[in-house]
Amino acid sequence: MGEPVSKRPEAGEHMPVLRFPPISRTELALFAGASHDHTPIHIDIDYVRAAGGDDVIAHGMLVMGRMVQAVTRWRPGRRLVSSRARFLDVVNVGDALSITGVVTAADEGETCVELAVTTGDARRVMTGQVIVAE
Amino acid sequence: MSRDPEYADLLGRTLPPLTYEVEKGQIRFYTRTLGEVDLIHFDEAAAQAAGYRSIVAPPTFAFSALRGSAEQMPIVDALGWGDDQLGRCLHGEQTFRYGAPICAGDVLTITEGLERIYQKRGGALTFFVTRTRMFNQLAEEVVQMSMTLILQARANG
Repeated sequence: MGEPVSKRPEAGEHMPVLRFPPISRTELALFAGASHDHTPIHIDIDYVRAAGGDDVIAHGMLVMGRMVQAVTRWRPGRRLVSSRARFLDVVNVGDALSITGVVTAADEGETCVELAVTTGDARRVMTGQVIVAE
Repeated sequence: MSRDPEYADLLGRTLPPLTYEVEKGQIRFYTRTLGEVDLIHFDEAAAQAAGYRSIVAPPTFAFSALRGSAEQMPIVDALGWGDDQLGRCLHGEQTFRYGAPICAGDVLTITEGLERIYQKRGGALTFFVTRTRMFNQLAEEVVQMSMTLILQARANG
């Protein structure tokens, strides 16, 4: 990619916040096709209502994919060692996700970033961690 | 319910392997839907310039490879879950440990197994932890994943 070598992150450093516009039903339909996960709870409001729910919810993996993306946008071109996520709360149509992160460890070879995903109404929907090989 | 004989039989057993063919179109579709913009996920020349065989899958794509390898998640079939359980089940946690990169044209061999079952809240929640291993056509391990599914007990017991 030819980008200049950037200074390695240090422990305590904050990652730039990554923000997404409100999630649309179209995105959930597209993600169902893109991810092979066509579970009706994400794409069929009739199914959800027949089961007693109000509305469809986003795939957890859509949220995790965006959470990890915050790190790969910040540190492009690096190999990832690992990523993990805890899915804390549902994400609804209309939720605007923000991903924040802080470097908790920066050893010689690896940078560990602790992450959180929150919605526009201040719900913390996911936490996680990505370890980047620098 | 978590101590059903059939669940206990599954613990530690590896399910029959499945195959997934990684396609350029699927990688591009997945990447675009996530909002990722890095050219190594879209453009073959860019990917090869970065040292990859072909366009490379983004870091969470391996879960889709598992999901796309059969009509239903292998563990869901093995547990005998139907609409009833699926309606009470949530994806609780997911981890990836990365090996070789997953590239378009790869053929992945996927094996999943049930590793652990435990309960919280006096049995109201049952946690199923699976481990998945994936190898490519060069016999390189591309990823190990761990998934936690949370099954909520029926409201009326």
